Amino acid sequence: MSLRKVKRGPKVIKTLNNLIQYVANWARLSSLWSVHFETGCCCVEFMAVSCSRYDWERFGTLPISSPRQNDLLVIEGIVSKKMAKRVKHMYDQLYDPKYVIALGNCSITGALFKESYSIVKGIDKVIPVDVFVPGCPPRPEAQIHALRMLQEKIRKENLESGAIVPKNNSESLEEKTGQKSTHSNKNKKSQEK
Amino acid sequence: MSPDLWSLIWDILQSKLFLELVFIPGIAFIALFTVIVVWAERKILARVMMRYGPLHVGKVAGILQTIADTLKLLFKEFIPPRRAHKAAYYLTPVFVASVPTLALTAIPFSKDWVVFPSDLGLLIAFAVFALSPLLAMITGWACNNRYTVIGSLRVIFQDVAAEIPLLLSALGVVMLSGSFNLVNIVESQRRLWFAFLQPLGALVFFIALIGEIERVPFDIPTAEQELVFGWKTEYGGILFGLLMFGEYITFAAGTLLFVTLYLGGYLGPSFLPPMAWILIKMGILVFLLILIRGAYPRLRIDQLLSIGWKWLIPLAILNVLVTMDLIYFYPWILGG
Amino acid sequence: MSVVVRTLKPLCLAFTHMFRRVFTIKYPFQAPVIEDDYRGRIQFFPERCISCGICESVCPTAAIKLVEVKELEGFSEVKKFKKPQLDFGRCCFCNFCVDYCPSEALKSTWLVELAEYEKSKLTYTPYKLSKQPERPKLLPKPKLVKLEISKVRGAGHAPLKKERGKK
Repeated sequence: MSLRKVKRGPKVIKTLNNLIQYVANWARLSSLWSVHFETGCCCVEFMAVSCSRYDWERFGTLPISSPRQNDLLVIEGIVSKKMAKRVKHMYDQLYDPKYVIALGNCSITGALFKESYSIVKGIDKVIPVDVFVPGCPPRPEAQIHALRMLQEKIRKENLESGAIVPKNNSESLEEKTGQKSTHSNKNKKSQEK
Repeated sequence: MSPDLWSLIWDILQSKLFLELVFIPGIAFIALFTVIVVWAERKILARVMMRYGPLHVGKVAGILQTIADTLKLLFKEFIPPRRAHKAAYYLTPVFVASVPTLALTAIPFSKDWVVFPSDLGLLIAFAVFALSPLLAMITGWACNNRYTVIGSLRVIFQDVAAEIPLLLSALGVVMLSGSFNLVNIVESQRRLWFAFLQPLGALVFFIALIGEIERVPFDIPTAEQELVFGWKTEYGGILFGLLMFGEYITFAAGTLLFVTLYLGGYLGPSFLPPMAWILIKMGILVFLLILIRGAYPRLRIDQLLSIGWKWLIPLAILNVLVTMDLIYFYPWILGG
Repeated sequence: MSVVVRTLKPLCLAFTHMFRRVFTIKYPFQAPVIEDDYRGRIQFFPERCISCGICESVCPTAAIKLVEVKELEGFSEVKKFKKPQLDFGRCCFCNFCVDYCPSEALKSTWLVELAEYEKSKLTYTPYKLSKQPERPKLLPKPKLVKLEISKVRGAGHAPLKKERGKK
């Protein structure tokens, strides 16, 4: 449910639109409630990151079990072709805006099991992925880094350059808008598949 | 605009009812309570587990966390399930969030600060509590999902098991004070709080109250490991926010009722206003309930039912009998 | 009576735990505790490489592939040879390549923050692999520790004074 982009019109409306989008982005990035889809050993490291030692609730994440209330889907471990349907189903159950982190090399490329006939070579062939976290399994630090990268991505989402965004980010913003990395496009992609 | 209208608006702004509806126990109180308690719950639970909890949102101790959550829920979409009853799906969260606020109207925040002063204030509060399983049942049925239906059935089981000891233990208080009026009940505690006069009744009321407001260890209807999110499974976006809001209003109403019945309500030394005393007592009780959430595991539904029917109801009846004896043989404890 | 004690004990325990020292490392703002000899991102030293191809043959996930390097890519001093290219999307960080390398051209560092927005960026060309891993400003250097076994506290960590990162 991204806000509509204003192409023409007075500057006030543009600024107001950007302001609302900025607030929405801030709210989204600072309360990423997460659900994880674990099929492998990476979920152990995910537990580590959500427990006391690394505690990524500091950044506002909250483990909630129902996919209806979640924003962040963390795919951990190897995904077989049978399981890929379930991953797709799980992704469709999340309400927009939704984000995906692929945790561990098994979910990125298939890693050790790449030669197997029954393995999906990369979860990004099934659902759109926002951040890839390599590691076997990735350390909790790497996961926190990935979460912060995702937060940076959300912060710049759907914002038009110029209004509220600081000057340093304006160049990268134009790249982002050029690539059309919005979620509505992603959904279309996933539906086609 | 004519001066008459201005004076009318000014009168309305100055009236007590307006202040009650807007500040305490109105919109501002409920909103502030929810924001602070959700944040405090996450922080306290985190400290029990020796971690920080929300920290980086809002720079200082994650103080803006609940606001960010609420805004995010506002900006999130919600889709009714295909086979859901659309009207019930959309309407029940509104009722779940608004009905428990009626229980707050009966509670006295000072001697003359009650929204709806009534001789049957206690019964009003209980009547509002008794409505919650009905709403949960409609919610669970409307979503047409097996988890929500099981969750709503559990709500009914649990509320029946918790409601009867709740009423029976409150009966002891009514007998001691001789009135259903909550102001009278508080005023008759000037000598001694009822928590000291009948500790058994207070204990039964406390345990039954946890079951009634569906908090850990009795959060069986929303058991996350068994049912996905109980009767709230199918809700996303701001509808889920409304459900959680209703849950926390029920929490506020329950703790306020316990404070009013057993802990002397607004009574306290006179260096603070009575409204502050009731809020302080409520805060301590809320802290205790959050700590209980951090300490105990969840019970099974059959364990809860056996506690409710086999222990709490007999104990509540025993409490009533003991209170009758006290009143008959030692009438001086009533202050007469 | 024992029932009451058993019921109240967890509550008291939870209350006392509230005032204990917090166990959390505030990671991006505080140095993480990483073991000595941790196998993280692999760094490549092109001047030492003899292009033998052992790393490619020994890699269990076939993440290493020898590719021809052009002069333009930054290796003007090195002769035109095949150099290893590493796909971190496949690498399982077993460090076989580091162990087997006869000329010690591959070394492991402690950098673990390898996350990327795009999958293709996870493939490190020899030139990218040879760069000293840059730490973002946010991330402090890891606090190096060594294993310490004492009779009183059991196994634990002790800080290591010498930092291996400075070469």
